[in-house]
Amino acid sequence: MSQRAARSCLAWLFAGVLLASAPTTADSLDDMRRSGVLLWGADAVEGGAPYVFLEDPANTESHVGFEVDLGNALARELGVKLKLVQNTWDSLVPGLLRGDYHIAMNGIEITEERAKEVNFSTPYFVAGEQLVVRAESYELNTLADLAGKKVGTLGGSVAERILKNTAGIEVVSYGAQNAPYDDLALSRLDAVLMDTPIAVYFGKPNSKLRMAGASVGECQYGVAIKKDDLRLLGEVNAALARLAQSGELRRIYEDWGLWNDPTARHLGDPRPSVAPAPRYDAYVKALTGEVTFWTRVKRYASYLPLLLQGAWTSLYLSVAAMLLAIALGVALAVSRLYGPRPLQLVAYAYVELVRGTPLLIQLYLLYYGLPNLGVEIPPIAAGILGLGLNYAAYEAENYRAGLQSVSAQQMEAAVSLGLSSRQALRHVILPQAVRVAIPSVTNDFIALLKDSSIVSVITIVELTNRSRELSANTFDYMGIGLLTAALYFLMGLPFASLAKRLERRMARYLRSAT
Amino acid sequence: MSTTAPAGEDTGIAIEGLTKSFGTQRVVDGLSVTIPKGQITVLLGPSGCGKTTLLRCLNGLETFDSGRITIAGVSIERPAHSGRELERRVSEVRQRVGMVFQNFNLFPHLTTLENLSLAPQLVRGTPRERAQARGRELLEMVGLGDKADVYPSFLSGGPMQRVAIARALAMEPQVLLYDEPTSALDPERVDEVVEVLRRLDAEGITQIVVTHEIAFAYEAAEHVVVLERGRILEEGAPAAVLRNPQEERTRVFLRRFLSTFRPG
Ligand SMILES: Nc1ncnc2c1ncn2[C@@H]1O[C@H](COP(=O)(O)OP(=O)(O)OP(=O)(O)O)[C@@H](O)[C@H]1O
Ligand SMILES: [Mg+2]
Repeated sequence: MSQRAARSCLAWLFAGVLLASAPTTADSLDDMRRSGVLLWGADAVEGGAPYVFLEDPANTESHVGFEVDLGNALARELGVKLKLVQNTWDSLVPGLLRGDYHIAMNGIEITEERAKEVNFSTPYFVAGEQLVVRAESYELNTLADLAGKKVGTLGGSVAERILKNTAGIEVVSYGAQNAPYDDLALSRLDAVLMDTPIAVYFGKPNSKLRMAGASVGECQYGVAIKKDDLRLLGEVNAALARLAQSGELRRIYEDWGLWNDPTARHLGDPRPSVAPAPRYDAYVKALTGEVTFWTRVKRYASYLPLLLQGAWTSLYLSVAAMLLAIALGVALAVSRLYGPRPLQLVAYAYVELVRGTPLLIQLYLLYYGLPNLGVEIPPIAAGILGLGLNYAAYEAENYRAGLQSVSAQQMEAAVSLGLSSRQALRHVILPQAVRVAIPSVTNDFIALLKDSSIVSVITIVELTNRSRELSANTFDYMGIGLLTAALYFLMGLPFASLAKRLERRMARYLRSAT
Repeated sequence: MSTTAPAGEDTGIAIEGLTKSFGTQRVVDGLSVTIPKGQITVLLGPSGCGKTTLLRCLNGLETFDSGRITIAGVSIERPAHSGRELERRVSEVRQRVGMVFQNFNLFPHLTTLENLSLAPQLVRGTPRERAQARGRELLEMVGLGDKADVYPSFLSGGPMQRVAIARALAMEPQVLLYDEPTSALDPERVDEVVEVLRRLDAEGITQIVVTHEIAFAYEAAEHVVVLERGRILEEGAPAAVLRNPQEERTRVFLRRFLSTFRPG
């Protein structure tokens, strides 16, 4: 179950390059025993059913899913309690290597590349790749029938690789697991190939779609553990073996309607499944239940506190980052225009470097890279620092333009009155430059407010992240999307009008303003 | 500070062997002249002869290459003085020598009164109330007592230049330098500015005025210096230089103005 292909590749690459040589931090087994808690990294926001998701979207603690049951069983076997640590799926391995949690388990396929960075437990589940087509597409039943057809899948997944190796198929890669099924139902695709659990939970309940034929291929999910945590790896493997032995694993998978042939073969338990699947049935019932207007309104009301909480995080993160960006931006602009030569070069290099590299990479460096050098920054501080340092480069350019718009003659008039160049800058040049810079600073702040959603890659849950979580768990992209957009708009509004007022006030000395 | 003559022992302005080049172009060329104290000296000369550059050398806006300037009791010698020493001397000169620009260069974000009181507060540490009281006196003096709280962009050229002069005066300078103070003004606005210069002359300030107003030079100046290619072409009393120039080239230069001005 890999998601968001482009970012995913980047993140894994980063994990490899930066963290391959990560210093040995505290032994996770010791840490777990000392605290009595097994910290488990997963993405409950977009992980989605049936892995980890929210039973009640308005309650962020209501995690359910077959991996929640499995995690609890594992923790029990290890004699500790389970605690979920939220992180985006792409960042699960970097977070593991950084020491944010003891294990990462979230439908992570065991592949050669990943095995270079982390150790994997013995597979706890084996998924096949399931073809899903529209109910009336009787002629499509195997991969061989798909020549010349449009087939959707998740970017970077095993299924994607299978499709690309089959001649004549037009592959369409997605970032979220429900989207391909929606497009299939709307006839934008001819078929979808994805891991069986996803097909069962997103394709099968849709009456317009049907599962075509038996699953093909195989991909194994493993628990990811840091390379040097060999003792923890041994304990987890032993625990998994006991759970398989006692039939507990099978019971969990049957509960969730996921017991399948590949897993049965892997666990050496070929008895066919006849058990009911209550968790799956409940899921389908909730999904297909009738929704009246009033239940919808009540639902939105219950989501609002969560969204507001996220909005508050976005807001204070952005304000703090902007203050940092403004302070550093002024220093950079002044250094570049009036500083001694070496300082000018430093300011120039800073601005160009920061503007020439993606914010995402900068955040990764700050949060997942710096621990390599022994510097560990908590998430919120890293978010403020990352956004602030990045925006400072843009602010510096705004202020530089503003400063340059004030003519050199103003500086000459000031110094010929005996002011030092520092006094001239402070009392004559800067006040005029600020007025010129205000509109672009406001624009930047509003852009920053929206950009701040990027901090979700370093485990911070803000407005966009909350919104994604809610819509992934309710499938209501329209309503929640509009609600979220309204919140962003309302947050930016006071700042835009404040800036207008400030600008007008400061321009009162201009004739044209009256 | 042995090179700095004590205040009060102000002996006018002495310029000796002043040279300034921009790249390979020598703009001021070994110029020597003495400007009398407490008088109006007018600097004349064809466009590009180095008048502005000379003026800017006098208050350190340009760093000259060689020679010596003694002004307001401070002497600057090049290339002997450089770095921090040069900076220190230039900053002393600037506190005693005011400059008035062709384009006024008032601070647009400050009211006229704030334009006047800013430098005394920052440079001299004058308390705000005293600086503002003095500022009001000076505005009164240039006939703008009612414009204290107005922003410069709401004034027209003549009043702006009078504010600029008052701003320079707020630092109590011994010398005032003017670079074409009236050439950006409407003709009917010129007199009100010239009037201020006359009044200051009565108070004994040394004033150097770069101008193309021959009439002004003739009527108000006590000393006239004609420059050509960075050197002194001719100097002396206005009546002598303007009515009866010794140099043929002065004659040629003045002839261009004869259509508008006939001395005597
Ligand atoms: N900063 C500079 N860089 C290069 N050349 C300059 C600079 N300032 C002045 N010059 C040149 O030096 C020469 C003298 O200029 P300056 O401005 O002193 O003449 P001016 O006598 O004031 O002329 P005008 O009557 O037109 O104002 C001109 O040729 C001008 O182009
Ligand atoms: Mg000039």
